[in-house]
Amino acid sequence: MLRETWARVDISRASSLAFVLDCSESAQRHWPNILGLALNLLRRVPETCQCSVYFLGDAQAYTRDNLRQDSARLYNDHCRRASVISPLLETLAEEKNIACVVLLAGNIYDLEDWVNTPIAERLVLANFENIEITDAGFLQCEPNADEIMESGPLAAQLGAPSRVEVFGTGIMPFFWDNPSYRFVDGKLVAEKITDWKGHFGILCFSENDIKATVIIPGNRKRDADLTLCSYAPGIVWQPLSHADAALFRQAIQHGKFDCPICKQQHSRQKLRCFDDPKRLLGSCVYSSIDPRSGAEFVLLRESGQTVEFSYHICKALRINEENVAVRFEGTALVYEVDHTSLSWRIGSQKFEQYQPVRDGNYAIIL
Amino acid sequence: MQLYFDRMGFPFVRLDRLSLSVSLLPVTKVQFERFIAQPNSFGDAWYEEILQINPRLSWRRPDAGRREGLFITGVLQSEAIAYASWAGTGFDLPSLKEWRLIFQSMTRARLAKNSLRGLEGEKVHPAARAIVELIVRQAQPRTWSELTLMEGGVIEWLRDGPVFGGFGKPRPQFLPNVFNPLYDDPRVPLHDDRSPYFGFRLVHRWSINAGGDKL
Repeated sequence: MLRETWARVDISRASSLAFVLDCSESAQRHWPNILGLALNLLRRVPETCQCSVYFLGDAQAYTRDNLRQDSARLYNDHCRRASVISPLLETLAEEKNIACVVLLAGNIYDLEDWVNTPIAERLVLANFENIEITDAGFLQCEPNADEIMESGPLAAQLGAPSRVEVFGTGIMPFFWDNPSYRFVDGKLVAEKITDWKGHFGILCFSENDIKATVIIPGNRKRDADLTLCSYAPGIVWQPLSHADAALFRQAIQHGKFDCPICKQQHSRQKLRCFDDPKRLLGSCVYSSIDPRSGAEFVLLRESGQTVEFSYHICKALRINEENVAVRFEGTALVYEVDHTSLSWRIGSQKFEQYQPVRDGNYAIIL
Repeated sequence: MQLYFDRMGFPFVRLDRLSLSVSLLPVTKVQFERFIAQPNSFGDAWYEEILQINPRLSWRRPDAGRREGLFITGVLQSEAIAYASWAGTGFDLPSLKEWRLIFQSMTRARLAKNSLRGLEGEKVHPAARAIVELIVRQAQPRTWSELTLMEGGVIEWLRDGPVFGGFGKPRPQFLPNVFNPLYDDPRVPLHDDRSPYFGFRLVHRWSINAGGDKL
């Protein structure tokens, strides 16, 4: 059974970085390389990104200046610690937007205790010893600065998205409040923008079917944060003039109306009068409605003695429980659900002017 | 039996009659790793040797191997004492007499439905909770001695006057035995070497702990 679901997308990027350095007994001979790589990486970290330095076994955070100026003393303080990561991961696990790079040489004995935890997805291991760390699928890369910062898994954490997609089996978006998103091949897609946030109204069989993906330069993908939420798009209703209200009622009741511009009768499908040859695009028969408002649809409804209208900015409009209209080349395509294949397709229903939609409203396209 | 928690969130059982608390479980590798994470003489080479004797089992996947891999064994008595000193004032290995009295108390105390309610709180280290759940699942303990693995655990270092020995009733899959800690003499490792069967638990002897639950 179809359900109406609202979701919010937020592209969370790592806003802070933690570099974890292994200066344990087993990593001694690699320490100069580990230190050199750490200092190199710290120089390349964007200024906007907060950076901390940790040592295996210790939950104390240090700054990049501490490491730069005091590396010998820090090494002496920490070189007799065993290769254990839980003390610092227990602290870092509470920070949601942190990515961790671990520069290590050899085993970390308790790393397996962090398998399938949220922080495991934000942990990158760069090992100077060529040994299998664990079979648990931690992100791993070569211990060099380019690999770590630009093409390795950390880039997925820090990299700016080039594209965001909202998609899923059997889902149909019917509303989005960020106009940068477009409906393409059943997905909502936004590209090369800076503000990716949005609220999305989606018809689906299961909320679990809704997915969101971020694609960064290099065609790497990662999941975007998609949060289910409650949302009610604000609808601002304005009254039509008396003449426009009469026109609306004529069109609804009789299928035609007396055009206020050319004084002829028009079919209700005609919302622009081309009587004035100077107006190549014609004149909107409704004087109350601004055809240049940018609205994709205009909703109309009876409201007591008056008739009201509202601009609908989104390119999609939910018609009823199982149909969604999406703007396409001057009109709209009506999508319908196929309950057998649990998918959506362009149906046989055509979008007509004064299309009845939910709540007793009517939709027109100017 | 009342449960209290150390600074890591591992449970201790309060035994008023004996004026002490005893760790619910033998010391785990998770706990001992916190000790060796400090800058001391127990580095990677030392731990590699320990893990050769009794490989590590992660508490996240406790069903993936033999449960004794969760606990620290292969340690010498001096190393167990070093850990106890690090744990804080009042922590120690039990004496032979204490161990037997604790064992008797635990053997006579049957587990009730709400015996483990204290493990539901936020103070509990997730590893402690996971290991107890494993024991309940695997051993289906009926008494506290079975739950705490004084039966079905490791051989536990204790003080026997000026010397050290071990008591315990490991399960046959770990060490086939017919030990009876109430009557036998304490065990010692065969060749003064590290033994995969020897671990330890701590007692915390009270001075005045005014009923507080933080040790």
